[in-house]
Amino acid sequence: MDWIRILLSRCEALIHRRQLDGELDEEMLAHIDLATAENRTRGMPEEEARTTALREFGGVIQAKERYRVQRSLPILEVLGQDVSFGFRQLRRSPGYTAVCLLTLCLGIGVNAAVFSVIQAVILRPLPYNNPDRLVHLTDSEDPQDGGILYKDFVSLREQSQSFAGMAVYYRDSGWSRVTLTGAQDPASVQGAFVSADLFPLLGMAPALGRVFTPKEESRHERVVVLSYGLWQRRFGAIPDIVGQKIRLDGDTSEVIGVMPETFQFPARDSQFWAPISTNRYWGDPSLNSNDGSHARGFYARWQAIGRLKQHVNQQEAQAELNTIFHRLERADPDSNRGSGIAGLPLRVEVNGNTRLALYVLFAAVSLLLFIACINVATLLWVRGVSRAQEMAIRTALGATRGRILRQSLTEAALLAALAGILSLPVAYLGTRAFIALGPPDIPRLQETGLNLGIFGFGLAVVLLCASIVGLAHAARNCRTDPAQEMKSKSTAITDSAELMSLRSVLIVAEMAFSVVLLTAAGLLIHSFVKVKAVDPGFDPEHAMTVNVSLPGGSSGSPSSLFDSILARLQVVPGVTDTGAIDGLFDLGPTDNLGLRSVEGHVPEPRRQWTALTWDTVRGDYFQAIGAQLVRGRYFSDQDGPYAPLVAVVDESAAHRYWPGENVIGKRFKGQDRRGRNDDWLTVIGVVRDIRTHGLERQPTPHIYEWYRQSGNATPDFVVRFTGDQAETAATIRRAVRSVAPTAIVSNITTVDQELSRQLAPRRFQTSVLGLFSLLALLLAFVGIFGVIHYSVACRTREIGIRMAFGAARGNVLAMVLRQGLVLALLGLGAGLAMDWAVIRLMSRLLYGVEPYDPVTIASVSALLLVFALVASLVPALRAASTDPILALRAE
Amino acid sequence: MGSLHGYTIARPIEQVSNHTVIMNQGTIYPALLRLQQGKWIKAEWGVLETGRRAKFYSLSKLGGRKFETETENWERVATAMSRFLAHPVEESRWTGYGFC
Repeated sequence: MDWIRILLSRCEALIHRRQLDGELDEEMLAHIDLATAENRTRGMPEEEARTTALREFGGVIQAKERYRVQRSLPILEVLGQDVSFGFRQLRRSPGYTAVCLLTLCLGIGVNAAVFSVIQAVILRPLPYNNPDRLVHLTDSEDPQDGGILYKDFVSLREQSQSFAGMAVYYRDSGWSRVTLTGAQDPASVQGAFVSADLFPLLGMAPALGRVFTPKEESRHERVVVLSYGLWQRRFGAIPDIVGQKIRLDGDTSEVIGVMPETFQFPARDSQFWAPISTNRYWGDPSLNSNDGSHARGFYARWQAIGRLKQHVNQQEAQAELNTIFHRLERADPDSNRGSGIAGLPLRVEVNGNTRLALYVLFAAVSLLLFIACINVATLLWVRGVSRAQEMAIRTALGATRGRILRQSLTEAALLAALAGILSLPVAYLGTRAFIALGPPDIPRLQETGLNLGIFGFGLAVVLLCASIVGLAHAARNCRTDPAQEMKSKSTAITDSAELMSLRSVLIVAEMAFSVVLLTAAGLLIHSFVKVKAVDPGFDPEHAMTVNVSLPGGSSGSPSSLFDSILARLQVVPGVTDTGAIDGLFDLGPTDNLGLRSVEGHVPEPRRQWTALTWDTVRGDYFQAIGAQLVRGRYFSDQDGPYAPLVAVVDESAAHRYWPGENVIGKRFKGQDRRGRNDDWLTVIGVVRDIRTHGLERQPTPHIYEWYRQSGNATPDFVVRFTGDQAETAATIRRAVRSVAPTAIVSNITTVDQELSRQLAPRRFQTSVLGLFSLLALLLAFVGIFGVIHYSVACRTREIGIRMAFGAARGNVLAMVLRQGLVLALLGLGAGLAMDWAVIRLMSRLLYGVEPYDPVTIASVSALLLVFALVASLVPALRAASTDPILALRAE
Repeated sequence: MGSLHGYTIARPIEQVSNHTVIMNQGTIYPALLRLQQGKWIKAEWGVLETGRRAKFYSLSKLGGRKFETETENWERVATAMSRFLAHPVEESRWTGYGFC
């Protein structure tokens, strides 16, 4: 315990140092006075009495020094001195300080921001009870979009021993979308129809009210649990929402609870949860039986989750799933052939490309942090060299090695600490910017908060880097002979050779990293250009689209209503063509379908089926969207309900089913109950592929039917207009409302805007990575400028001698430029080698561009070389303008 | 023991030790400070006969206890040492323990 008392009292002494100094002086004076007085009484003369007293006392200064060391904490005092000295040093060269701090701020801040996003979106565990015991049960062939059969689920739940519980829900969002009607405009709401055991399985309790019970589920009771968001938006967060009645698809449901904000199951846009048995497709026989007309994906509409029992691991569970599934397959080979059930760990559904893009961004910011570190290291290094003389003087005056080492380290740490403080707002703003500008397809992005852990990590990396440089530098300082160092600056020539080698390696590494970043960004930019250049097969400009859907349960034939809407739109001023279709911008997966028969061809077995889309069109859809007719004709009034069935196909479909043939007049049969099912359809026209389903997607074959023959609804209206966009949009809304006051009218957008929205994730990835690579290029620019500039400064004398011996200015200029160019070429080479190793990891993000795209690589190389040349040009010009006489005399 | 000034503490050291301990009187002050930091002695400002302000040190309760235990320790060590010196250990006893 004694040492604690001593330490405390030492700390206390730190505070009133000055007062204690005064007291010590006073005490020692008193001592000497007393001794002198005593000596006098022993008969010494005044003078002798005092000198004797002083002699006996010993060295006053030494005594005071030892007293001070004992009094407080000398280490801290020295540290304080070092810190204040460091501050003075930083203030004395504001340019250097600013560049260092800015570089580090960008490095640490941006890195922390991007990692925070990844942490919140991907790494953070799901907000459920023991989420790592949860398993997602889905189709093993197509886990993302596939599903399982309800009857298979029931068998699994009965037979499986690995799971403590299981719950099931509709996988397909389209089947769980309902119309919410009430006080406000009718709205289409995405919900989830789930089994009652879902909530206890996930361990989620409602924020308000209760969740439904298995009894309610089996009784098909219309009860609904709202999402926090829906409750806030649609119901103004009223506290007495529980017990209220709302209308979903025309049926009255009772609100029994509200889930907390973090509950987003199965998807982010799930806005309510209702018993699985109240879904309008519940019990639809086509959903659980295979009549041979559809691929499995069409009717395997469910997905399930299960909670593993305590001591069961995932492999064991999967083995059991396989066993059970084989039994099911034997019992019902038709439904289950060629598939399986996979139990995958439940995690956030992040689109694979988004996940990859986030990782690529993180790799990019990590490289950026590296580059920042290298830049700061070289800056510190240069600065250290320029202070060699100062250090030599310190050594000569008696500073120990430890003292100089400590001081160097303190300065580096000070810089890192300042950078840390300053980069906190950068990181925070970066995170906010990411949230604000990020594309809508990133789940949980809104919940991102700045992650202080990674912030600390960035800071630690910088600190480490600064310390290494500081140490290396101090070690060098200790090694040099102070006398030699002080004698003249001429050592700088030999020194710079040694120094250049290390600095060059750093600069080459920095440029190599920049090359990797630039290549990645370049490839994305090139992909973006390629996507933009894709021929959409239609004219997105001056076309507007509006989705009109009728509330579930509303009376009247939708077809006649759609007809009247179309007729009303046709007379809107400025509108030239109107038409409608189902599923204009459907971005979801496409089912594999087959044609029952194609005239002149053998029917395909199911495993040869490929993605195929049937669309029904109404009015002048093709003219309105601006399609290009390749051959034949569009639909017309002569194609009535009793006329022969006709179809328009796109080029993909023509190529897929009639390769190399003239398609017009060819006949085929569809596969389901559309139109008059057993009649032949005749192809009357071929259009270019209309790629509204995403420009980046491989176009799937489309078969277009005529509404008068298929009878399907066509909720997506397309209007070609000539006038002002906003005005037309308002007129269209009024027109639709006047004809169908109860219909749900979605936002009216132009087709152009819709396409641009589809490209949002790609645009975001491209611009962010582009920004990062630009920063990297800028840092590399500063780096190469610094190293060349410094080497020129060091070689002033050498250049002076060269010029005195007759070197022309051009020669000097070329010499310096060559130096920069060599560094750039080395960096470029190393960077391209790194490209070769890593860049293909991001190939999934590319479109129409190979990972080793020669155009990109050539542009990146050219860009880097130009930047390197420009960066070396200023120092080179300075070198070339050296006056040899001045240069030699200055030494 | 009453309170003493640094000089009064330092001066007798040489005489009491019979001139075996020779020291600069100034070095007493860091030592006194250390004792103070451990709260073993107390210091108070007082006024000398000459009218000059000076610090007077006195033993604290804690210091008194410390003094006793340390004295005991010292006596034990000193006794043990003198015994060892009076009866030197024979060499053969060491070899028995395998030291050689």
